[in-house]
Amino acid sequence: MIDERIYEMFREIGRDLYGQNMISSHGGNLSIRLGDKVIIKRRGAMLGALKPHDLIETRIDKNDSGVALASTELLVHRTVYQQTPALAICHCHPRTAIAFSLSRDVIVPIDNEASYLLKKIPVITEEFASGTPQMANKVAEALQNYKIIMLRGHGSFSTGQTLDEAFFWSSTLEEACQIMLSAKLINEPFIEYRKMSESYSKF
Amino acid sequence: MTGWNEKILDIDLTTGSIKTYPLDMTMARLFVGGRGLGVRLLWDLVGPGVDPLSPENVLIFTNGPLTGTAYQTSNRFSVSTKSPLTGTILDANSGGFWGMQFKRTGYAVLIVRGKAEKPVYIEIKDEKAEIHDASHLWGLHVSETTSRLGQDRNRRNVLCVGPAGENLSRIAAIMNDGQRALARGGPGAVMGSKNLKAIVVEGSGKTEVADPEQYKFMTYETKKLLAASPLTSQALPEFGTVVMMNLVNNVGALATRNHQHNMFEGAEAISGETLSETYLVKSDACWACPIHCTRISKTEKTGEVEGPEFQTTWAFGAQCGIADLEAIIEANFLCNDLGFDTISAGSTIGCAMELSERGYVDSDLRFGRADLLAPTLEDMAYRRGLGADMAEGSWRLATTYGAPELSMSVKGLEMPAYDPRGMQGQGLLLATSNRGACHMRGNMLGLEVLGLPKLIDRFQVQGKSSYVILNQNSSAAIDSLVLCKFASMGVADEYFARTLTAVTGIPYATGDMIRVGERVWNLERMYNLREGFTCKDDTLPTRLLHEPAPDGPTKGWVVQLEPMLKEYYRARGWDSNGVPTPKKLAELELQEL
Amino acid sequence: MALIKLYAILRTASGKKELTLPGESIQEVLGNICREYPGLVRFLFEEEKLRPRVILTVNGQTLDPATGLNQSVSEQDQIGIFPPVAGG
Repeated sequence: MIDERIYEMFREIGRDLYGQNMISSHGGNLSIRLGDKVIIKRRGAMLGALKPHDLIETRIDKNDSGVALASTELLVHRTVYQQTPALAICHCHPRTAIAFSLSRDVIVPIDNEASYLLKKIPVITEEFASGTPQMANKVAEALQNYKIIMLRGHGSFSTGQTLDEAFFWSSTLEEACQIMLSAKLINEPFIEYRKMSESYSKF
Repeated sequence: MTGWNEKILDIDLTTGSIKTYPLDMTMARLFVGGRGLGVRLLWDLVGPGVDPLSPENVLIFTNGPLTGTAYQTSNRFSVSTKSPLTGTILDANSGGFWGMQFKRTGYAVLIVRGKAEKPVYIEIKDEKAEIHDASHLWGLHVSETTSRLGQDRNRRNVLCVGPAGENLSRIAAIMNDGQRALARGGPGAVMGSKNLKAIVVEGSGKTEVADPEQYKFMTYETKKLLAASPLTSQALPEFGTVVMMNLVNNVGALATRNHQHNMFEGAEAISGETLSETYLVKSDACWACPIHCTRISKTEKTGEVEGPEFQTTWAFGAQCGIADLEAIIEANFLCNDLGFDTISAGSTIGCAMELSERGYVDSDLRFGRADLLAPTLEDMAYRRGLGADMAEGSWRLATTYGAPELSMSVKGLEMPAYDPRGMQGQGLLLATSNRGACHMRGNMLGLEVLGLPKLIDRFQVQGKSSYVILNQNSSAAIDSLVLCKFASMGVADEYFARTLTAVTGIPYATGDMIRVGERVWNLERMYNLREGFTCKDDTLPTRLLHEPAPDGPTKGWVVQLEPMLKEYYRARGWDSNGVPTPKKLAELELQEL
Repeated sequence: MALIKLYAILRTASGKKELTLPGESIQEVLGNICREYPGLVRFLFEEEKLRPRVILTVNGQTLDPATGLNQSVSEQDQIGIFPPVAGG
């Protein structure tokens, strides 16, 4: 039985992800760790309009009956929980961030908020489709050291102690990328306003 | 590898031998320093069945690669030994200046074995160590000892025991810099049992850093973060930890009168706000710390003294039904000077008060008797009358007089201020902490009360274990660096991991650093299991499991430990008896142990 | 008129330990506090939103600021407002 409050939390964040154009109708994923269990979206469910039966509870370490219903991305989430201290994961498709990920190995924000909170966001590549061990391990390894990473051309994975913390990083990243895009359009010389900013890319 | 001192100083007080040998750097990489290094060495040095007060027990003082670098809060150090109070592993850490100076001597570890024939003290000046006669110091209070041995803020620092430790009180503390404590679990008695009065350090070494650019960046960012957080830049410097009193009472989680109640009508009178208006003189800080949580208070009897902290004020306050702040400041000073763990001392007195009121013990002690605090502490230090039984801690006291259930302790260690009937996760934490009931080994206060990083429902039971485990692992990591947990109220773990990397030159991802904590936690667990502890010891006093909280917003609640504990064992990768599985041990590179 | 208790820096900034102010909801009460004691605004609010980690309790139960500000307030209620605080 999944607690009502947990469902509400998933529903609200899912709705915000969709509303902020961070996912398509059926894209993205959210999960949390509860002890030795994972709660994740049902396969085929829409994050923007979650119903109580759209949340599946399954074990972290091995398959049980929940697996048949859970998202195909369950393996990535499980691997992240097994290999990192994460307690919540947000996976979404922030459009501007994805666009930037196509041409660089690291996204270094220029706005105040994201430089303060994130410093830098690594971009990793993995050709293999979602749900493969290769991809799962690569994502988990990157999340060992960064709370949010980009999978080139695909989307972001972020972690936190709570779901809204994970969402916060994703939202901050997309905001940072939209600001960077605007700055590129404005195309005027950048006036550096942050001390020691040359170190951000080495975070 | 930089950051670490790579030498161990090993002193045998029985034979008088003084040896130095290299630190195993593979071990250092896995356990880092402080608590981690301490438990790993203790595992080898003190096997099952050793009497903690016998010469076979060992005191292991450790620092870490970050100690003494001047990174914020890099002043802390650790002691590891087997606890005479609980029989479990004991690790305690302390601030002040001694740790920084110990790092300057060039040693990572000081091991003290055996027992001296007559009272001695150890003096370490850079790499030279000497054992001196201390018969002229034995019997002296901590402050007197500290000044006689030449305590000089940044240059020469003294660590010692007072009469409580000399007289082998199981709740005796080791004091450093006069008013800082290595307290929980009674390490003072171990030191006293070795006839070791003090350890003085003086050093001139500096800690090298592998990547000075990155280190400078981390220090700068940490400075910004600590200044931006209202906890570390306003609340703690202005009001000290005692600011917790009103808040914890307000939500109905302040244990009162030996946990008979969960709210205290005198909370306001002993709060941080009241302290600020009355006896507070100024704030102060440990070495290299911008947070300044230390209180300096002044009363007629004591003059200007350090403290009191929240837990101390609670232990002699709410737990004893006392709302007299002046008496509490005096009691705190006495604990510092006699060398007692304030939480255990206050809570043992609270226990004695209940035993007395219920007729188990014949004494004048009653809840509210502020006037009896000072004389009782003296009796405990010198083992006079009932004080002799009380010096053994509340568990042995209550058991001796036929009411063990009236000791508010877990594995023999007295519980802190938080009544877990008002904080379910805290209940799980206190039941599973490796050194006995301890909040400093993963405090759930942040999540369940402060909203740090986010408020979770303090009465919720399902899923609590994941938070508790993360907190336990993370704080074990911080205890191994060695840094102050108040830094983590403003700075996320990823900064500490990067600072550790910058100092040592070894890449520690955030997850790697937390895994150090998980490794330490599991080894401590194995140590306790080896001593004969079982899952049955992961419990709480009957009162908290069966007597519903009587007051306010927490009324009616008991701690629902069993479901949380079951989930906790599974989530930790342990079997249903709470034993780490071979798979988990292999994952943590502990399989040979 | 509910009873409002102030703590830590909120006391120093306002000079008061306790207030009684009108308000049908928590949001309204907070608004009235800020109007009467403008010195408290910077400790409680950041760009119109309640500052993170400000702790609001109603009869000892902690409010979730995301959902609880609309909670209605009665005469018997005791509201506690703590600025961000910490301890051990």
